[in-house]
Amino acid sequence: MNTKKSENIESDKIIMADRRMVEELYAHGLINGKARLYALDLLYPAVKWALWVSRILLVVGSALVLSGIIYFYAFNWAKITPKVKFISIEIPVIACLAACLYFGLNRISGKMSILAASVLLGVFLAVFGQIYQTGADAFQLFMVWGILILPWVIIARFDSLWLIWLVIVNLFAALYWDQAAMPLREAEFMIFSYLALLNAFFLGIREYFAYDRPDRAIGRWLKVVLTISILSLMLIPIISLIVEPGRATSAIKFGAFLGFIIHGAFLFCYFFKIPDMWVLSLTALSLCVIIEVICFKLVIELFKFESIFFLLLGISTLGIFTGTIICLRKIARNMEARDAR
Amino acid sequence: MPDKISMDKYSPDGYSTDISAQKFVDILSNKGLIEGKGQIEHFIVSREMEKRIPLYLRILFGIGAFLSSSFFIGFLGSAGIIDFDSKPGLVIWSVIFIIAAVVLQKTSGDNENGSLHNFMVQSSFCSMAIGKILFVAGLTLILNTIWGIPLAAFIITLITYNVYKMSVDRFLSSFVVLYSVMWIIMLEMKEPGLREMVLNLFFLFQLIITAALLTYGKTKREYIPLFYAFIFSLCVMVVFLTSQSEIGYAWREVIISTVFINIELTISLILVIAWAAGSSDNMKKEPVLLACCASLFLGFISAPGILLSISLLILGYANHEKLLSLMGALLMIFFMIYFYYSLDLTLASKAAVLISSGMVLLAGRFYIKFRQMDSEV
Repeated sequence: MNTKKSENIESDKIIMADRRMVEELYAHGLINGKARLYALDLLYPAVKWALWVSRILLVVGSALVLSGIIYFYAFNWAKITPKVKFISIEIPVIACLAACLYFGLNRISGKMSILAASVLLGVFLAVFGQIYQTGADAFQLFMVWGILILPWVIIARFDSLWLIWLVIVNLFAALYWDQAAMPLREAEFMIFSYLALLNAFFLGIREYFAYDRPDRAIGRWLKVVLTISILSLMLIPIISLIVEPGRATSAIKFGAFLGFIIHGAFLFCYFFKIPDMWVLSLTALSLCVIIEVICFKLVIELFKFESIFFLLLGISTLGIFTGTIICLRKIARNMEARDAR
Repeated sequence: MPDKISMDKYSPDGYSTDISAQKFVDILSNKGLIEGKGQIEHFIVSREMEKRIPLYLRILFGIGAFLSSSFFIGFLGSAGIIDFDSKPGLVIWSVIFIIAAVVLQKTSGDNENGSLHNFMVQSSFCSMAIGKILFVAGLTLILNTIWGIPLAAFIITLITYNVYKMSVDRFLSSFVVLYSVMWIIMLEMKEPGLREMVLNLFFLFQLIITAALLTYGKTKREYIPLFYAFIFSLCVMVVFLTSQSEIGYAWREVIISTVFINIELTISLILVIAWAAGSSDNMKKEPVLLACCASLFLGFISAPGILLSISLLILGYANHEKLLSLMGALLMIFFMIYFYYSLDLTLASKAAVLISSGMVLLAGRFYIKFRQMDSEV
């Protein structure tokens, strides 16, 4: 109904009312002060404001307090006894869990409580390492932290907690590779493939739930974050292979091969299966970077004259980005047409 | 209060309402609050006429133009077509490229999906970037002062802003002016007291312009990129100042105190709350007064990044502009990272700043809950 009505105002797109519109109408004398206030109340009812403020206060306030706690324990104040240090972390962890049980995981208060408990658990592990000088490598801290909070992450179904957990897992994998696996030169670059596969696995799980059970899926913004991380990780072996193919190890070759498969998979999935212009654009940007590097490599090897080198690169860049924009526009139009059907 | 039935749907965040413009006008008309419904509809349609390119395409346009213009400038220089030592020559070439950019854009047509249109738009943007870079280089050489950079950038932005209708170009050009001013104040002003004063005044100037662009209803939509450039510049400046310190690694000279900037941002936060409240009558209401008091308190104990970030989150919500909210959230994250590494405070002091700021916000949350202000939903 709304769409049809909105067609009176604009035929091909719904125009949404917002504050800027109200202020412009008021400034141009098209509505009076009374209408402006009514309109603002309509767009932003007081109770909605209160809810939003309440929520943002909780999220930002908790983030600041948790950051402050991390800063404080990083300071490692020698005057505080180990016992006090432990108690001062354990009590908040227990309090957060109690709060989570009280509020329940369907409310933002409960979710923030379990997130705080998860972060504080990591602080506890770090302080434990500080005090007992366990000599354990850093990857072990992240491993134990990740394992301990995993059940909370699963039951909480909270985007921000998932992100924290993914960061912990990625850090664990990277540090493990560096500190424990200590690969030979031939396998060094495998970490990029492992990390990309790990993140791709979680992206796949996210998409599975989003497709079949949208109510259980984690946020769309997390999909974009995962996409950026996967594509960035894959760019490293691909660019290494292009720039110095003669020195490419088998890990780089495998990484580059995997990278192209992932780019292809993203283009296929996010065009045909789960249309998403942001993921497609990120993939396209990544491909632009790859093609740019190939052009750079070719031009620098084939032409010795500086001026021709710059000219060809300028033209190819113009072509690559224009072509990408044209493709993306066509894809967006096709998607709109598909949605309309 | 508006009828609940008049709400189209809840937005994804669940806390604001999305109402189509048509429904909005209908509601106001049915309530007898407006006259000349047709005129209002016409106004709304005309303000929407400007074609908006999706953000992801704007990013691609921007990156493509930046890279290609860099290569073309390299070509023009290395081929000897442009003599970079010739001051008037640079300016003349810049004018040629800028005119070419405008002509290309004007002749690119309306077919957004056409290959030729997109190629011409991208070429036009690239040509404009080359023209502007050459103009800034040329005028700076002519004036023989580093202040020529922001001055030239300002002049060329002023000339092209209304002629060349591309939001990415408007945003980037305006941002370059502001950013270059900040850097030159930092690099060129050797006298610490003067430098601090000028930097603070520059920050204040940016805040005033941002506020004017935000609140003046007759501001045209084409000035939205300018508004974002100012906001982005404020964010960059806050993060930049956080990275400076008395014993800092970036500059080993003198600390730039953020006290005045904290005061400016505290006042801004209070004004943002007042603006969001909508009217002077609403200002007298308990929640708004409380928010203002909390902001004042926060100003005493908190840091600039936190204050600006909260202001942006409020602006983003109040304006239905997710980009502003995203900038607020990202600023908070970047600020935290820089804050951790800036050395003029010990980690314990930083922890105290963060924990006390967080406690103020959480106290506000508990008060809202206690008074059940958010309990209707």
